[in-house]
Amino acid sequence: MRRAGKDPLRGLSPEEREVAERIVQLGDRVLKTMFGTLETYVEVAPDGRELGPAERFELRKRLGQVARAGVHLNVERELVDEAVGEVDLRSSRALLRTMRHSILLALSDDSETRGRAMSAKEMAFAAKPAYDDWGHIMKGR
Amino acid sequence: MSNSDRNDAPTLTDAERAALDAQVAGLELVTFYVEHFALADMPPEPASEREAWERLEAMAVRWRESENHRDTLDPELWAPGLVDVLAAIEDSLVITLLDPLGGDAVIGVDEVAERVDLPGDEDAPDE
Repeated sequence: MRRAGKDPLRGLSPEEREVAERIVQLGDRVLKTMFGTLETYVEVAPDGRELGPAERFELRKRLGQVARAGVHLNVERELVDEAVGEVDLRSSRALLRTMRHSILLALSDDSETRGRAMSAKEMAFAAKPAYDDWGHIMKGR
Repeated sequence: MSNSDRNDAPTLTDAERAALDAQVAGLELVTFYVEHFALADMPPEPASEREAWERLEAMAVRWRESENHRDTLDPELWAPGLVDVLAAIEDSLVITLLDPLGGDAVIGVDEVAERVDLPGDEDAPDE
């Protein structure tokens, strides 16, 4: 999210800078988690089958990252709601929740529950609003 | 309740029914989390861990059903603050289950009580 070169926060008051740095830190984490998880999800492509140990390991690792990003979003929830417009993270927050649900289902021991997990294609489609919002965020920087 | 009373009762739409079911499951998850995780000094018992995974899965099923019927998520159908607190609890549980020693940033009991406007809880703040 940060670009080398000129300080993008130049000219801000110390308070504004502190808020901006928090939103940048949160945005970085959300973006990395979202992209990384989507990549793994599409690679594993849950389809109701029982996943192999390596697939389970990768998805569990992503599940932990998604949950930590969710906790960070929870801690900064007021910032997320106030920053709407310039840096709208609400669609990313919704996507991360969807990812958590679907990974939990894909990891289930129960075949019927596993069958409820999103396909890779459905997940890619669900990611579109967040991708669009990130397009706006990047364009504005 | 007599048959005539039952006939006079308002019928829930599919969205209202799904939202109600999700909230019941959600409130059970809140209670479970508070009793077995947030208030516990010790790491959770294996039985609690198993139950936690099962409850997380069950909640994920409810959310997936809600995603298929978006109107289920109409804020008017939900107790104020519950969706976000549930998400925070689900994230906290996942972190605690995957890394019992790394649950440094999980949601606490006070925060749950402060943010969930439970039915019959007159003192809880409206959002």
